[in-house]
Amino acid sequence: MKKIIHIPFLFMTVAAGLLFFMSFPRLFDFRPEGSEHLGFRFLDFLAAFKATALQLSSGYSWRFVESWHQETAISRYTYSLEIILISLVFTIFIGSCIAYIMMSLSFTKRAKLKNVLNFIEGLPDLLVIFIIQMSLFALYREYGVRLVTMYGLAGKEPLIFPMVINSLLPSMFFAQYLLKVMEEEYEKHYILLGQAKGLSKFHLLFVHLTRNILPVISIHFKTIIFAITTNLVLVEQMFVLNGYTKELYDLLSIRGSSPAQVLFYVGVFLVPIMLLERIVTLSGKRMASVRGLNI
Amino acid sequence: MKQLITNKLIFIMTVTMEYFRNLKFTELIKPMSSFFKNARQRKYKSAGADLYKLIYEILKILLMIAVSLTKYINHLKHRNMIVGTAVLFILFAVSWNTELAPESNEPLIFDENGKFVAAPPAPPSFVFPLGTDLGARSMVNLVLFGVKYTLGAVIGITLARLIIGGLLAMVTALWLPVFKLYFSAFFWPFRYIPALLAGIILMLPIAAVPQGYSVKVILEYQLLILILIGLPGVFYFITDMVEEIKKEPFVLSSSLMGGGKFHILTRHVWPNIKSHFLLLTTQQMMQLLQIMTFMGIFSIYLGGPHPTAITDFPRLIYRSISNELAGMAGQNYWLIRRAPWMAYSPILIITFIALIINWMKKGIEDQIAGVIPAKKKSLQEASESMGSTSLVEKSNSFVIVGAQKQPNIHIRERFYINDVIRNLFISLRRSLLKLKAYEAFEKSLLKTFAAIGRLPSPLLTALLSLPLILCAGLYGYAQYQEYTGNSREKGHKSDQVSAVAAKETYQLDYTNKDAVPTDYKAYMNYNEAEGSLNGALNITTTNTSGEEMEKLYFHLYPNQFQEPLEGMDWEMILGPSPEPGWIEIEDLFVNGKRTKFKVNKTILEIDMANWTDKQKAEVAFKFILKIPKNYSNTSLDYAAVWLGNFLPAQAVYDKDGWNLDPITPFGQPFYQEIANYDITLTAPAKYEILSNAPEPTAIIETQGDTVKYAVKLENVRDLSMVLLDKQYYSREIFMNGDTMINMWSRLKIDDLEAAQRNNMAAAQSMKYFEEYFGTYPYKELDIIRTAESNPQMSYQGMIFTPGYNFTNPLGSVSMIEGVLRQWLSGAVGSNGYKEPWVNDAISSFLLKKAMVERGYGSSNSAEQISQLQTEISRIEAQGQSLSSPLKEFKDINDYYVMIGGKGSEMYFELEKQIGAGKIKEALKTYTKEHTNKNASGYDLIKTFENAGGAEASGYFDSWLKPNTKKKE
Repeated sequence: MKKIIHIPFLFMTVAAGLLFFMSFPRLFDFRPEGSEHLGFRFLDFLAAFKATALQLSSGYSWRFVESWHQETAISRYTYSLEIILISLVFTIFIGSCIAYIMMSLSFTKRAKLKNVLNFIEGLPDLLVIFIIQMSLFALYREYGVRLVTMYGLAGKEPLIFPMVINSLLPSMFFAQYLLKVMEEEYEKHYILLGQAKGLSKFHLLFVHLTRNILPVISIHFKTIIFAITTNLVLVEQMFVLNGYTKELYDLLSIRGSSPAQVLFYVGVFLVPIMLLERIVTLSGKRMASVRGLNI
Repeated sequence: MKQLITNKLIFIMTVTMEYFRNLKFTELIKPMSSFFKNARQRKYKSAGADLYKLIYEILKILLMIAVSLTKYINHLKHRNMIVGTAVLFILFAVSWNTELAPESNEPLIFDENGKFVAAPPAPPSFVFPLGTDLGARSMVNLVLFGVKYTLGAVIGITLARLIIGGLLAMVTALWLPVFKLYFSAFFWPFRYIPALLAGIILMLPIAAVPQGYSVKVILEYQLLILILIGLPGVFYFITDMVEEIKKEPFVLSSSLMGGGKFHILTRHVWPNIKSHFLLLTTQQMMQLLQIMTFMGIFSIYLGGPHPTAITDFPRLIYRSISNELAGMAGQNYWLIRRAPWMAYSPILIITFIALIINWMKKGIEDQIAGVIPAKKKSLQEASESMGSTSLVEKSNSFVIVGAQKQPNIHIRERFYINDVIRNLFISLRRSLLKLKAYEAFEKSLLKTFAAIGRLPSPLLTALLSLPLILCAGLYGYAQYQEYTGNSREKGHKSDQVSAVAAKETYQLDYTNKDAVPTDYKAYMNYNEAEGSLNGALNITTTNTSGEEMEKLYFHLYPNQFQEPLEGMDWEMILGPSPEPGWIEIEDLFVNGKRTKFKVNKTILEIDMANWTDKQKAEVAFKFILKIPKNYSNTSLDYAAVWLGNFLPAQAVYDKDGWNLDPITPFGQPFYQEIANYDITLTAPAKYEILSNAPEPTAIIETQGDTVKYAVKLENVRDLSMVLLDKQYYSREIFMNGDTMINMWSRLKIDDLEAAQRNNMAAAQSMKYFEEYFGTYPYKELDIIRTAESNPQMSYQGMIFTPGYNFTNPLGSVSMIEGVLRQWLSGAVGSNGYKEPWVNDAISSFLLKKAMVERGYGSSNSAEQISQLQTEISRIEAQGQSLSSPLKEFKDINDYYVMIGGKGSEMYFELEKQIGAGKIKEALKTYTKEHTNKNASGYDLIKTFENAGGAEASGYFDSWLKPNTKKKE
């Protein structure tokens, strides 16, 4: 019963929150008279709030959806998704490689390497990107070697470089996390039993341990995919890639773009990511319940 | 004297010792007290001679103090936190006392002796350790100046997030658990939208480009948003923590024994959560630093952008107004190929701050996990002091005393692939070990790792960051060498390389698509004796800018001819005996209130009050137009008065702001939105009055000596009117379908045959162009013969054409062009000043096509083409391109070659690639979509790309792009 009362209220709160953030800039007076500070315009905000709500509900303001089908938006969209997917795969691959290699080392060596990993993870992302970029420039200038296409200028659609940049730091993060979970799991009794029975370390790691940490990892998959999405937005802007960020940026730069449009564009961008995240998390939960784990 | 100093020193040491004794530094006390004893004893001897020895002793003691202080700090519980905070504080204090160096526009930097030092942006050198920026300011100064904003913002926002989020979370977790659900529902969008994207969406419309908001306002807004986007994270973290603690047995027993909520908060929750708060602080600071640097890349800086841009390729990038580090790193990123040190300097300091915060975080994490680094260290020290014997004796074999001997069990051998791989590795290593070199290598590697591992973590951090700094330094040095080695040629080259990355005008969609036609109501009287037009103008205009406007601008084009003009191109417009002309404005009212205004050359600036978005404003004023006498669009001679671009016309406000470009001697520098006119003009009765409205719609009343002409026009870009002396003018009518073409030529002087030919050409070309643009949009076309050699000018439904077109057989070519202009720049407007190519290039292409069609010679010969090519490359070498704005063309010839020559070539080539059908289709869509609107280059390209498909995409870019190789 309680739930029945709660759910509509929750939905209303979600809607109110959405509308609030969409009309948020209208809450402020950017040219206040007689004051140097940001002013508040509560009445205007209410009006904007209402206008946004009306706009979202009227079919007229959704007409732009037709133009979304235009080739440019679609090609940019698929290009961005392509980068996200490929970097996700790459992140998982590199992250697990690092984690498994480190797990197979002895404890003391691992501790030292962990320090290094921690250090790299602590560096600002921009510095790392700058360094990679500069070394590629230097390589090109000194030896004339062009390893990868960096910029998306002149109609180019580079894939390798954004993928690498996009997944470099998330993979470090993933490796760290994986390592932490693995170390915890390694203390469990079944591992000890396995060792006592003479199973090799690799066998224990790859077969028994991996199977058991999968649910925990998949539940924390969210963090990685968001790290990649954030990085994608950044990388597309930095390397002038002809991706969906550009579409969004163009849209936001236009003064008159309607909130419905912004909502739609952002929503369309995030839907596949949300879906992927939900699928992975739910399957992780399911796996966990099958194995009798409580997460 | 010496005695005195010695006594003083001993006194100071005594006091210091007392102080340390209070602090219970036993280690330090021992040597100090022995020293103290010695000193006292010596005091009574010859203390003066011992001064140097005393100083030596004191130095020794000071060193010991330093060592023991370090030890003391090292053993502190919150070592990392305290040291880190101290370092950040010192950085802040230094920054607080740093003043920003002034910016200079000088191309070279000289020292006091007048010796050349460097040219900004100068690479790192001894004078400028981190190089300089574009304005010859040392990066060291800039970076130090900016640190305070970065640190201040990061710390301030973090604290605000923690206080708000923490309070909310604790109240929620203890008193109102249901609120958590509603909170997460309210902040639901933030669950899926990454913080960076949310920040950008909320800030971009306000803070990305200069819009005249005050710095404080922008800053406050940004701080609010940065607090808001981090709030959910803090809230969830703390509620989860509190809920965890609430499950603990001690909380349960406390509440069972009657402990209230507040008691639980203060006695159980707070002590347990305290150190987590510290951890959260460092996490939030790291996250903020990251998000701020990312936003810098999106040109969103704290305090907003500075109105001068630092680069315009591949994007138009403004600079940060506060020189805040993250913003500086973001802005300078776009110059990374030209001046990498500009991007590196701020990012290095940010790295430094990030490493310190990370180190603080590590300390807190260790502490929460129960690892106290100081303890570990002291253990290690103890073991070292005990010599080689380690604390725990290792034993690999042990025997359980008294256990029964187990029978041997046969264990089934199992086969694992992993073991095979491992064995493979082991055997590989064994065989490698046979090599002495490998053995030595492995040993040294292990030793190095061990040595690095033993280093204290600050040193480790420093050691690891050293290569980075070295790399940056080396790179900078290499750049410097390259720069000084052969500065000239290389300088050009580096520019060339930097050209990879800001948008051209034609890539921007800048037109105002929401423009509402302005209503002009004018009462005018033509004073023949003075050659002037007196009148009153009522203008109703709507604010479609999306925000409140403070100013309103009008173009007063005739004012261009108030002062004498110089230059070849102007001389052609001024004609043989020019007389000045101007507009005077008086009694200006806005919404019935007398308002201040300013006339600056051709611009009328009106102060607006409370002119908010979508609101109408009524502007009324009186004006006197003294008509200039020359070959311009507004002039007169003995037989006629022709008035084009003569009324004050509202300037266009688009995404680039107000367009207040002046008039130029060539091209069509006009940019107007569609307007509605209601005109009443009285003039002497001898005149036939015409305007670009169809004749039947005008009401003409003759009263004695005067004639009154009244007309209403809708959807007109430029109002044009003529007063023709009936004595001199005759009319030739030609019908093309429903459209009436009136050719007004001068009797006796003009060749009647030529007039008829012109009329025919106009009618035929109209039919021809309808294939490209669709039906002719107006009911009537008046072609008016003006002075002898005016440049031809087209208005909607009216063409002003010079006298020579009525004697010259090529006059009909001008008619074709005039008709063409009815669509291009008549129906479809463009910013003729900023993007002349948009309409002019198509018109020259179609004109050439029409000429070929009419048999005016075939398309260009090979010789002509090669001549054109050399001309184009000469002009491009001077830095002009097809997409240049009008002001960049050096003279009329360059303009014609580029727009007419290269512009038409662009379309001929495109026609070859995508076919004539696609071109027609594209032009039809272009006209249909933009009739009575303004089109930008962006719109045009988009239309062609949509119509032309794969071949057309990217095509325009290669033609329009400025030739950066030769551009300085």
